[in-house]
Amino acid sequence: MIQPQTLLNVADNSGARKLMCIRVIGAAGNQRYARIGDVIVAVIKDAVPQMPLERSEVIRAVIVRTCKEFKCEDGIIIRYDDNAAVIIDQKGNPKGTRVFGAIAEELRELNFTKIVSLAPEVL
Amino acid sequence: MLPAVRSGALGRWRPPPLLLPRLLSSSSSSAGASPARPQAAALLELPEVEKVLRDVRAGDVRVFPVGEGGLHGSTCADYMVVATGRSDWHVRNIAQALLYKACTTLNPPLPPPPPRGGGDIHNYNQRDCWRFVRLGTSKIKQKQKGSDRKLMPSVEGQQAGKWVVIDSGSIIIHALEERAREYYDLESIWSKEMSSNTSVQLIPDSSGYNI
Repeated sequence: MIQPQTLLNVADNSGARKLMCIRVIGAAGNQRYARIGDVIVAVIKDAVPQMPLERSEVIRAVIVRTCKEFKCEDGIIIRYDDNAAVIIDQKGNPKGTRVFGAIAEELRELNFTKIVSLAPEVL
Repeated sequence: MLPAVRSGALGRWRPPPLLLPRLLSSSSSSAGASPARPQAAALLELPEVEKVLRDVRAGDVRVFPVGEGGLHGSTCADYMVVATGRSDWHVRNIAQALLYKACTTLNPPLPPPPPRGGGDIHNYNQRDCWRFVRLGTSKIKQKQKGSDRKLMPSVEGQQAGKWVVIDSGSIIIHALEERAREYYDLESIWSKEMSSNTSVQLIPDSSGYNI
């Protein structure tokens, strides 16, 4: 359940460390939380020095892990320890070149195969 | 009650996009002959992919078997194929050619089913297949789930053209532009995974940022 003002970790090597969600793409109506596979607009709150991405830059990101449990189609329920996102550009290409941590397989069905193939572990 | 439970379970059970091709690929590798495949019709197979990539002159084609050994192991694909295109246009064309191939040979698409066997399948369906390729790519951009996903390989990144991924179940084909291929350096992921499959935390340190 990611909503504006939520802080997220970054699960790639793009150079950002912390993101703050400022908008959920596709959110219509009063409130809609982002879950795994949703795209958000976020601000970089913390970044690694001497990297192309800087603090207070506005970027897009895909959510790959949520603390809120996530139910797969086959009945498995996955819950992660952190909220994490991977930074992408407008075209959907990941900004970093590696993705860290476990990634849910559902991302592949949501057309984020690139992120899945960069990930070290697929659940 | 039992049939109802079973049908419910079958409905929920995600149909195996990976199981069947994996069985087929193992059997084909062992037997050598092409096995009868009534249902795996939608999926591209490795020799065909290689042939198409050769035909469209994709550069530097490499195949990584990531099936059992690697971390991708259980759920991801069996084979990763990486190919280089000279330009955005070329990369997009590689994707189109693969889609077209998937459509013509394996998934006779639109209503009139072609007569089995014979070389005239190609001519018979050509226009339909092109329509399929175009419609398919526009359709694919929606979120796909369940049965749709099995029928045709899904394409990602067709618009941008720097990195197009074709996901046909057991084989994932990456077509990258030259600079994108250098930047993402996909080979090192899978060749590393072959050797050591525990270093989730070590990867960020060892793989530099090659920009």
